[in-house]
Amino acid sequence: MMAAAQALEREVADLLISALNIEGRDAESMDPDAPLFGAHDIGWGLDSIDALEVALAIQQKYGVELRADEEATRQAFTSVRTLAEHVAAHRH
Amino acid sequence: MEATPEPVWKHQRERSLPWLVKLIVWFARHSGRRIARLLLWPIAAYFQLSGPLVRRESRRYLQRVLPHPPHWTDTFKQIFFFASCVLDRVFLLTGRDQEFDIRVSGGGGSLQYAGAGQAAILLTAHLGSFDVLRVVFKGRRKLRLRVVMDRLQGQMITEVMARLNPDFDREIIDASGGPQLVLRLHEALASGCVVGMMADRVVGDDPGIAVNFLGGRARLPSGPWKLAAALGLPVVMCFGIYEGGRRYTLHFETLLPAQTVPRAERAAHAQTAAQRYAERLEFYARAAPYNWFNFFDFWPDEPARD
Repeated sequence: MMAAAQALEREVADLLISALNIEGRDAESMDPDAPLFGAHDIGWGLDSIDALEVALAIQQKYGVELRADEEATRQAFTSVRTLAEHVAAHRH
Repeated sequence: MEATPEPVWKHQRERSLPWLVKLIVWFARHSGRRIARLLLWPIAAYFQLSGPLVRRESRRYLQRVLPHPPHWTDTFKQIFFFASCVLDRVFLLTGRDQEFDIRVSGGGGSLQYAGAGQAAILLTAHLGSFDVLRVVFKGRRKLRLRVVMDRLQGQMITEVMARLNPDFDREIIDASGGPQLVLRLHEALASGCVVGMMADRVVGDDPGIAVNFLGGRARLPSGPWKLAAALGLPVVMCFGIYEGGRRYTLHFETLLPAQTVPRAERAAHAQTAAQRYAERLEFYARAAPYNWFNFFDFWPDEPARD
């Protein structure tokens, strides 16, 4: 169970890196609890357009929707870990 | 990165009183537009006399845009036009379109997207009236408009207007919460709506894009261009210019065709697009100088010339 969750976190981090063309960062070295938004040095430093592209990539890959104005979406966009948890809970 | 100061207009408290606004709206609805317009004279005079900030910013803007040194009557005219457009919202929102003579210029080409039920980003500015645009959208089934609006800024006016027309309330996309807003915009666009937004005021933590505008450096929001580039949507521009009396002219222009832009090229693309928008905004501001409704320092990086 733990291993599956970790594998999914890796996958989501990889998805972020490829969807956003992030260079000089690999999924393995990123802390899964690092904040998605905010400053680059402590987290991913995403902006809101990045968030949209991440949402579209997640929808494409896992068929999981991140709908606006839902508390679940707000919570999912905290870290790679919360995104992965959201995917795990909603994918079929 | 340099810190972005809070935009000045955010600090300027709404200077209208709720009960007075409600009274004016009530009076306007019962007396009709011609009589209600008599109120514009004392209202404009009040704002001219009681607002040194408004006078200063109006003069700074008019110095840039007018071919002659601005006179106090130019400022009065600018305030009068602003008050006219706000008052006309009452009639536009209550469906009394027959009060107006609304012309459309360049609409055919730019509205083709919308006409086909295709999503597009519609950019406008605090230049003239956005509400006349609704008249174009009304009665066209396939054409659905949503408007991005900051419910916190100008909340009282928005509330009063929303009560006049429930459809107006339904078509507002609330501008709060960065990522949530973008998801909201995407949901509206994905369902084929045209999404209208103001593209002349920088908000939140957006560093903005520096452009040349009316002989100085100004900042425009970066969001619209990023959104268009990410989703590959066409960008159309629309200004509802008030011509005085009962006449408005809507000017449509296609700014960008539908085109996805690779991430690496987006910054340069946004810069070019924002500059092009600034040039068109300048063109319309020069053509209709009294339609400019940004009564704050639009060129904060420039030394004041007065």
